[in-house]
Amino acid sequence: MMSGAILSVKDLTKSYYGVTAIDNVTFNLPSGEITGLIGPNGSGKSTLFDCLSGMSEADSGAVSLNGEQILGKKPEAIAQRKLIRTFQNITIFPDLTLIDNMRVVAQAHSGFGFLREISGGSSIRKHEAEATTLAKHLLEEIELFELRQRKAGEMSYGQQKLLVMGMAMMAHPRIVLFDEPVAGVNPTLIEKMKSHIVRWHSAGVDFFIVEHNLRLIMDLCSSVLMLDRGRILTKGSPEEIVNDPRVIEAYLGGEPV
Amino acid sequence: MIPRSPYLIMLWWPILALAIASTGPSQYVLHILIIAGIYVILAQSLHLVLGQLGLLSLGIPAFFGIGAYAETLLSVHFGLDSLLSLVLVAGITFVSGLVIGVPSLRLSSHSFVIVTLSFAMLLQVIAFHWVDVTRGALGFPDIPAPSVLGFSWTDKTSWLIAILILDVVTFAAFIRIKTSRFGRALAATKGNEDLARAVGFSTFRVKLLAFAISGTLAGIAGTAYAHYITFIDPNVFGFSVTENLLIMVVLGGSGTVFGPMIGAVVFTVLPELLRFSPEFRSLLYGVLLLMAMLRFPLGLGELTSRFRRKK
Repeated sequence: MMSGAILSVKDLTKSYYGVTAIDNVTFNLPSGEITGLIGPNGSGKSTLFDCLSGMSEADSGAVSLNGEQILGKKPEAIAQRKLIRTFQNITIFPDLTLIDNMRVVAQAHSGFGFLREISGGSSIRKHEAEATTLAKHLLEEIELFELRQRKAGEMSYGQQKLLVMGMAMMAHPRIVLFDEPVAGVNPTLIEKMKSHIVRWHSAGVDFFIVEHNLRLIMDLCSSVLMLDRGRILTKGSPEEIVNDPRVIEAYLGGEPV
Repeated sequence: MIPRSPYLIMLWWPILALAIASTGPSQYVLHILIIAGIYVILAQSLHLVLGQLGLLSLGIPAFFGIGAYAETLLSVHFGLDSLLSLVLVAGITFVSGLVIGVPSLRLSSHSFVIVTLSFAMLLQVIAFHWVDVTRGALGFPDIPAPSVLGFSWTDKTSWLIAILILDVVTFAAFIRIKTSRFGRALAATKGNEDLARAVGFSTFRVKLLAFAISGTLAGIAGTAYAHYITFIDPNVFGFSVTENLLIMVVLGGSGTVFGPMIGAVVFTVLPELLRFSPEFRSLLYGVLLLMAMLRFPLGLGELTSRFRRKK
C-alpha cells in the first residue's frame, strides 16, 4: 500500500527517578500495517504508549506522526492529529450511556468551541446527528447496539473492552494504539475483536498493538517489535519473533509457565 | 436527549415563594425568602464546579464580592441602568473567572481548593486597603435602589419577584449547560480526565469555561445582594458564604440537578426556624445537619430521584 512511515520514533528516552523505562528507542511503523509490540511486564510498553500519546513527557528523542513532530504536544493535541490510544486498564466514562461514550469522542473532534456547544444551533445538531449515525453503526458492529442507552459502568468487563475499541474508532483515527485490547477476555470474544480490527484496518486504520496474547499478535500483525528493559530487543515478522531465542529467553524464561 | 421537564420542575421554588408572599407575611419572612433566593443563585454557581466537575472551589465569595463591588461602583459613579450594569458585571466576573482560573486550574485538585480560597482572601485584603476605590473598612452605605428601564423599587415584595426572576434565569442557564453537549464534556472530564484528554478534549478549557461561568453566576448574586442590602464592605469576600454554600450544595445533593436549589432554600430557612430557642439554636442546627448527612448521604436531592423512581 502506502510507502513511508505513519509513526517514526527516534532516540526516545524516558526515565523515572533515575530508572530508565525507555532507553534510546528508535523504530518506524510503516503506513498501512498492523504492528505488534511485545515484551515482559515492566519492559516499558505502556510507558512507550504514554510518551507517544503525550500522556507523559519523554526526556529526549523525536516522534513524528505522518511527518509532523508530535513529541511534547499535549495528549489532546495528539488525539486531534488522529493518533488515538487506549489504556491497559479499562477506561470508559462510567456515568455516560454507551451511545454517549461513543458520541462524546466524535464531539471532541468536532472543532466547535464550547460556547457554541452550549448555545446549540443547527450545525451542532447536524454534527450530533452524524455522530449518532456513526455511533449506532459501530455499536451494531461490536454487538452492543441493544445496550446503547445503558450506562457504560454497568457493562461487563468484555463489553467495556469492546466499547473502548468502538470509542477509538469514533475519532476517525489514522492510527490506534491498543494497550492490551484482549487481556482477560474470553476466547470467543477475542476472535470477534480480531475480526473487528481486521475490518477496520481494511478501511484504512493502522494499529499498533501491545498484547501478551501471542496468538493475536501472530494472526494480526505484519511485523512485531520486542521491547525488553526499555530497549528494542528485536523486530521482525511474527514467525521470526516467536522463533527468536532471545525472545523466548526474555519473554518466557523469567516467568513460571 | 433530556426532557424539558427540568425547566418546569424548577418552578416549585418561585411558586412556593410567591404563594408565601401572597399571604401577606411580615417583612422578616420576605427578607428570608429574598436571601434564600440569592443563595439559590450562589448554589448554582458552586454546583457547576463542584457537582459537574468535582472541583471544590472556595473562591465563590471572590466573584460574589467582585460582583457586589463592581455593581456598586458602576451605580454610584455612573448611575447606569441596572440591567445594563448587570450585563457589564457578568462580563467582568466572567473575565475574572478566566484570570483566576488559568493559574488555579493548572494545579492539582487539592491545591486548587487552597488557591481559590487564597484569591477570595486576597481580594478581601485589597478591598480593605485600596481605600481610594473601595472606601476600605467603611464600606459603601446607601447603595442606590436598582433601576431597570426607569422602573425602580425598594419594597420587599418587588425585590422577591426580581430575585425569583434571576433564580429562574440562572437555573435555566444551568440546565441549558448541563443538557448541552458542553455538559457532556463536563461529565466526561469529571468521569475520567485522562481519558477525556486522550480522546481529544482540552479538559483545561472545559474546566476554565465552567469556572468562569460559575464566577459569573456568583457575580450576578453579588450584584443583587449589593442593591438589596444597600451596604457592602470587605466582608462580602468572607468565608462564611462558602461555609453556607457547602452545606447547601453538599447536603442538598451535588450529584442531582435540583439538590443544591433545595439545599439553598432549606438551609437558609432552617436556621431562622430555630430562632425559637436562641440558646440551643446553633446546637440544634448542628444536630440537624449531622442527621441530614447521615440519613441522606447523597443529599436531599436524593428524595426527588427516589420519588421519581417510585412513579
